[in-house]
Amino acid sequence: MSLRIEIDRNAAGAERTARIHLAGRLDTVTSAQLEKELDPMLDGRLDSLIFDLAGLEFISSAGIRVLVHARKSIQAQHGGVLMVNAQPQIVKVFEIIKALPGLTVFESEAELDQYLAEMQRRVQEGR
Amino acid sequence: MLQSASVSTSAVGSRPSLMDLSERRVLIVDDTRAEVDLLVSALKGDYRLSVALGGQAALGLAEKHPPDLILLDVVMPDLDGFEVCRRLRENAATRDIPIVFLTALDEVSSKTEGFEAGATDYITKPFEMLEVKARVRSLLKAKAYNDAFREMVADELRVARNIQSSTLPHDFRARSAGTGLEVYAVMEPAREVGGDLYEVLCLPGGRLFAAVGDVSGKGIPAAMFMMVATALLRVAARDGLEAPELIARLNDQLCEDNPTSMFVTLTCAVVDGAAGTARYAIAGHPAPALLTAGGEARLLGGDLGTIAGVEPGLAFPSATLELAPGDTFVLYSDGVTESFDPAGRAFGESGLLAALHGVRATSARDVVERLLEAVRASAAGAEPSDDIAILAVRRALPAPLDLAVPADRHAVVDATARLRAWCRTAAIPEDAADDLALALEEVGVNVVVHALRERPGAQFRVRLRREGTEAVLEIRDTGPPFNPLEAPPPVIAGSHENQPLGGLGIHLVRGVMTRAAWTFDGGENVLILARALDGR
Repeated sequence: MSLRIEIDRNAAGAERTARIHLAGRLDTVTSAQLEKELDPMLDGRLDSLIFDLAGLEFISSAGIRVLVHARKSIQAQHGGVLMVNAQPQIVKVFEIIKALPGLTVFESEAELDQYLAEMQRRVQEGR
Repeated sequence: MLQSASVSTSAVGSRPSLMDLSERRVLIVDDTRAEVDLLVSALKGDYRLSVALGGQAALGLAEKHPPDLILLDVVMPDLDGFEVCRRLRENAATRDIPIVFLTALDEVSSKTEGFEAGATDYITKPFEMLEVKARVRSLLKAKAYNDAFREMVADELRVARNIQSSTLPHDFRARSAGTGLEVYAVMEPAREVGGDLYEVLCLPGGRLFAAVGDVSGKGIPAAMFMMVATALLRVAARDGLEAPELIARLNDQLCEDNPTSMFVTLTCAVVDGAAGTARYAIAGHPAPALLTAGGEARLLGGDLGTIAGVEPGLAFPSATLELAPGDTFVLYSDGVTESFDPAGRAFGESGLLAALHGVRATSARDVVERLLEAVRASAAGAEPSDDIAILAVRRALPAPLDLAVPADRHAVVDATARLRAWCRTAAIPEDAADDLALALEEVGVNVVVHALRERPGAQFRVRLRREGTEAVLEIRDTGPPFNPLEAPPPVIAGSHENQPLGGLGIHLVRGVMTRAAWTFDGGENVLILARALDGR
């Protein structure tokens, strides 16, 4: 099984946010594919990358490295690499590596929305 | 009586040697040479003769070549005739030989002692030779008839035994084909024929019907009732009834016409190899046992229904057992638990559990044979008191996964796909399969990149097997000795974002596996990774 990537720019009405749907496997082979897709987006213009992992069935350390790399390239003050809708086996992997700075796994869309709204508010307050 | 007489006559008539007594052998036992010579000269034209000049010699000869008649002196220096007679009667090989005492002791008390010792006849000296010859001839004739009759009965019982045995299935492989189960069974009658039974049938949908039963009593009556019960059981099983309904029907049918009030106890089960369940019902029969793949043995509880064949209209409760791959469901009759050793101690449920405990069975047959062996060893040659039936149904284990993986990342990913497919056949839970696949990818990529440096043609070895309550993944490579388990944990929590994420893979492996061990063995790195399967 391979990896399918769908990129949705300007997600959630926010210009500096992209939503990326991942489905299939993010492994030692397919992680290069994701890296390639992400590369043009990592030019410093984005605050947040939201990964919707509903269709992702497998992730290995190679996949995590790509996410960490993406995080380093986003010079965000307010966002980061945000993940939502992860299946239990994916959540388990993130639990084992505990908190990676700037990589946040949300349990639900509602939780993510709340976080994004909070971020929006801070931006508008000029912080 | 009339019938048996006519049968025996025909059997006798078919044996021309029967009325010809010249091949019959008479053993003469006397310590007085003159007496021996007298008897020899009187009998030598009519029969074959052997002579023993003392009690001990007589015992040895009689045991080695049992004669058809023994003429036995009473007063002998080494061992008197009464004692010789008693010992001959205690020995199965000489028990039935006619024994005639020839002695000068003519008090009634001596004669009484002789008969009590097991004598067939008693002649006092001095005797009339004609009388001796007449009695010898008469006893040899009776013995010949007796032998012929016994032989005929034994022949019939042998045929009956074959018929009974052939009604029980022996083509276990064919009957369990496609069920994901293995099955094996034995029935050993205590006598020529028995009252224990078993049945194995493949049901539609790849399920297996298995039963062990025990008819009340032993010998021919039990065997005949057993044949009826087996036939009814088979029809009901072919009709696809579940275990409790099947026993209920069998109970009703046996009650219908049962003038001798015989009954049967049995355990019936329908085993689903794909789902890993066994639904069973019991009618007054010993509790079945479970031997897990890990070698743990226990008796299964569950409601006991009553014996079948006595009270019509009963319902029988059922219980369902989970059967993991490699687990064995063991049915048996009470001939196992009520096998007695020479001191009279029963094998018991404790003997059964002790025989099974710790056994990492390789097949259903292995389980049956080990149990039967243990019962025999415990009986230590004592005659079996009851028929023995044992039946084992084992949920098959797939052959271990064994892959040679080229030193290439794509090959590693392919290997994880094959690992997952194998896990499905081995009924390894999905979450454990996820963890094993992750471990294989992490370790495999390390091997490919570091140990084998993606050398074309290089390969490493991946094996996966179920072992008790664990899945054990073994990864071997021929790279330089390197223990990945000694790698320091990655620094994750800090905010030093430029720090490389070294050791992340092996950290994940440690996180998802239950235990890990590394050795360098025979020029190979051997990494053993085990994942518990018991709902961690």
